[in-house]
Amino acid sequence: MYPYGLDRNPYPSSPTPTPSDALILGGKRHKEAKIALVSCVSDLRSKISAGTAKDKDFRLVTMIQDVGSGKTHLALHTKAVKEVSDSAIVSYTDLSQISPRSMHSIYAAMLAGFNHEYVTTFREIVIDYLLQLARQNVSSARRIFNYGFFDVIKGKSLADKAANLLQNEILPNHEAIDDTLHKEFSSEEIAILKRIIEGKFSNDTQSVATLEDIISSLTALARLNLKFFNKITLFQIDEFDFDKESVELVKAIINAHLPTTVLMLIFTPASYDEIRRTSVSVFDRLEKANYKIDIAGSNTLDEIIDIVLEYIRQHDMKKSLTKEYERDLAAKVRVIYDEFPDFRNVRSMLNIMYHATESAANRSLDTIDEQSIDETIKSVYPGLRIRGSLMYVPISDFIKIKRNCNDINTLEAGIRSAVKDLVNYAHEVGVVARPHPSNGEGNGVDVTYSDLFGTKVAVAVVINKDHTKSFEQISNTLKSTSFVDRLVILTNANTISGTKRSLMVNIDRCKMIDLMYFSDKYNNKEIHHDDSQRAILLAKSMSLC
Amino acid sequence: MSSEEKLLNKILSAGSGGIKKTDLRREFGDIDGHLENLISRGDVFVDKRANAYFCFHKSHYVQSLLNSDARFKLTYDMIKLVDQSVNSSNKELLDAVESLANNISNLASVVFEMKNHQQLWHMQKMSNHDDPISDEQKETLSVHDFKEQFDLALSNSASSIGWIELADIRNKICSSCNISSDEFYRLVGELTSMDQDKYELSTGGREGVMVRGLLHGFVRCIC
Repeated sequence: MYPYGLDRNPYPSSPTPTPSDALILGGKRHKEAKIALVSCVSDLRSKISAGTAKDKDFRLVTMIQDVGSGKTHLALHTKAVKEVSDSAIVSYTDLSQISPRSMHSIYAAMLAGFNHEYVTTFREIVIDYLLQLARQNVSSARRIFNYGFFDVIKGKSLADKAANLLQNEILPNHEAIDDTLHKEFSSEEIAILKRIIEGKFSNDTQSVATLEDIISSLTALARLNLKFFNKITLFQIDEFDFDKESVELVKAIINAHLPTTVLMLIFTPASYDEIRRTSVSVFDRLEKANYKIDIAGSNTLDEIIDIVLEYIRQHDMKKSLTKEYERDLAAKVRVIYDEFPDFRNVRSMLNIMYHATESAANRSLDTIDEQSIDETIKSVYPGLRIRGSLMYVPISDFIKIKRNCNDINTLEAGIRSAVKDLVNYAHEVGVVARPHPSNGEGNGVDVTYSDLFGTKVAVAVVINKDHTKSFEQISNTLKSTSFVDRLVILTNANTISGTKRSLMVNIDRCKMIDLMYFSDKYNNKEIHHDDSQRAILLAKSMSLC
Repeated sequence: MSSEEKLLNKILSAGSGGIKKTDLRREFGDIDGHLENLISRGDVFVDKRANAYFCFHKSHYVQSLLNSDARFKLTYDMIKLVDQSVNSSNKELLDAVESLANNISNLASVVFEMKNHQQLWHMQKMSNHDDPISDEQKETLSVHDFKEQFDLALSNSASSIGWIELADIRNKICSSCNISSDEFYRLVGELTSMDQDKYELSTGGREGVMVRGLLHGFVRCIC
């Protein structure tokens, strides 16, 4: 059993999405991009339905975004969206899987990009079309099935022969196909139909010798899709780059205005920029794309949180994911996002969530807890540490402390107590001479002690959300602490102004969590040798000793 | 040693308890003349206590009064407190004056340096417009100031897809703000990390900031 009552891990295990992973789409921006793409397809399709489409109605769509931001996922998702699948026949091609890259190999990949169901259905439709012609006593059509006298004697019908052809039990009569279809279809279209009838749709590369042949073939295919399916054709080309062959083929496709076709190019800003440098004419065409699908902000925190939650929502048949669980998980994602810039993209975060879910499932937990995330990061990214943490705070503790300290008053109280603990500990290990009983109360001083040289030091913690308030507090503390030789002010006010007698030490969020972590360990008497050294380092980093 | 000096030493050796005049007379005979001299010089004080005259050396007389006279002790303590307070105020005043003097001196040197720097900058600009700026003359910017410049450069370099190569912006900002390339990328890293919801980085490019071990050389504003 997986967390949140799920019966399987909802997150994809592979770094790139599979078609089944892509059925789920989360994130406001990704959904908006999907709507843009669907509207492009619907727009063209509605023109065709209304009969206002021109013969060579072509659309160019670009999707430009960084790696790991969900472009491929979006492309695969839209392929399966009902509005798109009802209006378009989609071919998805990943250029990164093609090598050597030539126009022919790309063309072959574009044909292979249509799914198996389409190819099978197409074959059935075409054979049925020929069967209808044969039933209308078109003699050449009957010859396609080699339907003759002996078949009549044996009691075989035309439908039986069509079924035999579909089962590859007989071969079609090619000459008869030409005779039957030449009035209605072009030679390129007939060539494609022949291969479809024979079940060799994807093995078409030998029949196209030149770029012109490729363009003619793609044009013919688009027309056939419209005629037999009443759908437009959508070519999605992923990982498009400045490779000469790819660029030339795309240029030719754009120039040819393939009829009732949408060409969708997916690439990174770097590839786009490289095309700008290497192929001005193609760049100019790309600049005039009908639609530029923008997933700006695809890696922002809100987007990533929504995507992470969407995977659970889609698999949550028992509706176990309560609002409380959602808030809890979102808070954990936020910490990972804030503390590890490495995980600030969709792909990396989903990878973490996949492993964390597995870890939680192994421990039969109802939710993904801090320890699951901690174990994931330790096992999958063993070298990662919280940036700036001197105490080597484990991720799980870091998440807990951070969540507990959301309230500024709790945080301030915790820091005050932790600073006292740190001074006491420094005294225990002989780094500080003597902590004084609290005689600075009322002056804003939290702890007073003598250092090894006999200097009387006072430490004041000044933490506020509003920095102006902090400056006021610091000023008051400075005025009222003439009884000490040195005053150390620990503040989050981000100021460096000090006086001869006082020292301002800026403590960032990481140091605060270090302090809280130390205090917790100190009070639980869990300080070991390594912790001791780190604690002294922490005290030194704040000029306490 | 004269008899007067012997007398003085005897009184001194008695400490804050003092010595009876009759005891001195018993030891030294007629002491009235010498004692008169010592009293007139202020070396010795004579007090009548419990029907007897006691002689005290000047160094012990105050202590003797503190030990025996409660009113004197109170007065003495009060005076001492006033003294301490005056001393402390004087010290603070001196510190404040010193600090003020230092600040004025620092301020003066900063103003002087700024003035010099400006002059140097204008002179260099006028005399050698195309020369690259040497490292010593590079400045540093706060992230806040950098943000203004960065936003301005982004809005001036807008492309159809929104993505701008960082190298292009670097050229503009480094020359206008007189900062080094390293400082530029440090600030870009800090700014984009701070305002994750406003800026978006993308991999690639000739130069940029490293994130996830990848060179990110493109940026765009997403708000």
